[in-house]
Amino acid sequence: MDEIAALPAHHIGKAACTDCHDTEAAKLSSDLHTGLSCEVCHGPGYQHMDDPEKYKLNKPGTREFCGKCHDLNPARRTEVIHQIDIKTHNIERADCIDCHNPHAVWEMKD
Amino acid sequence: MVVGAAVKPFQAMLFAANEPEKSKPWYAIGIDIEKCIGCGSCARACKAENDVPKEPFFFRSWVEQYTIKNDGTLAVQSPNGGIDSFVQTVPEAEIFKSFFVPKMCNHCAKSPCVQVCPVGATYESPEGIVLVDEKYCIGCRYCIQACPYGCRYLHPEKQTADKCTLCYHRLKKGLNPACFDVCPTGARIYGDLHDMNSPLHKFLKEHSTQVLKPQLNTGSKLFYNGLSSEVR
Repeated sequence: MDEIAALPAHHIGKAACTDCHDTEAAKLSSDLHTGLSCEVCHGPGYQHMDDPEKYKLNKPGTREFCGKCHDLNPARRTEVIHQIDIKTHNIERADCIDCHNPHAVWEMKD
Repeated sequence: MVVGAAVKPFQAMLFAANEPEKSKPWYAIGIDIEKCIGCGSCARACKAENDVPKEPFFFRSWVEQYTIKNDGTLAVQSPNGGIDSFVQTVPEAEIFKSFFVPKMCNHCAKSPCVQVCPVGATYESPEGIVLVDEKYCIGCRYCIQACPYGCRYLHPEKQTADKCTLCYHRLKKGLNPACFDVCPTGARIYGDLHDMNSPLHKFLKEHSTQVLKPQLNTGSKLFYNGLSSEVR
């Protein structure tokens, strides 16, 4: 039991991320994605916390990635999650982050 | 009779093989199927947190999509354990109802896997979490066959049984289990059954919950809200 308890934690949690990235955390708290942990999108941050220069985290924003939550699916309840058809929605732009800021979703880019 | 009535909402407690120590927490899990969006964040986080082998058939935590068609037939899919989310394969006109079911170890109070282990490598911690001692496990796979929920696998490198530990290493550090931390909709809840103020108690009181395969009397401590009878 002690060996299992001594294993290192890979997900560091929102509070640890906020220590350095307070501007991004404040922006995230200001909008719809407020309940999300940073590591949902950026992945586990334990290596990045030890050596931020060497280990960089993911910055996803493609249609496929955002579609994991937001693509139309009859099993998703509309009152729980905002859904769009990632194949047809605003297809002139390639990625979701070309228009949306993931930390403040309705802050649109030009 | 009075005692039975007092613990009636928690079948796990009623049938517990080992009487839990009141001084220690006794963990249980709640999953709200109505809130799950099948994004697979839990499955991805679990693999990253616990160094689960990357091959698509080793999972400690995974998601299944159930689709009940208009003709009453059932379609179940879990591509790669739902780790890359889901694409509905049944045409929308044929769907009666569709939903996601996240699955993980039920941390049963009367675990079949604990009972069959010939060397006592699988055990229940005082917190009610079912764990495997890698030093004692001989890799005989009895527990993998005995688990009615399919929650165990043989680790290809260690050649020992591996399973969800409810992120025991994180709980001991005061952190939430990884899958609970990353769930974007809050569909997952865990808590201490001994603590009447825990969010789990609120969840159990506010919802009509069910466990998987209640007829097996495993004392499952994974309570689902909105579980259809079609789920196996």
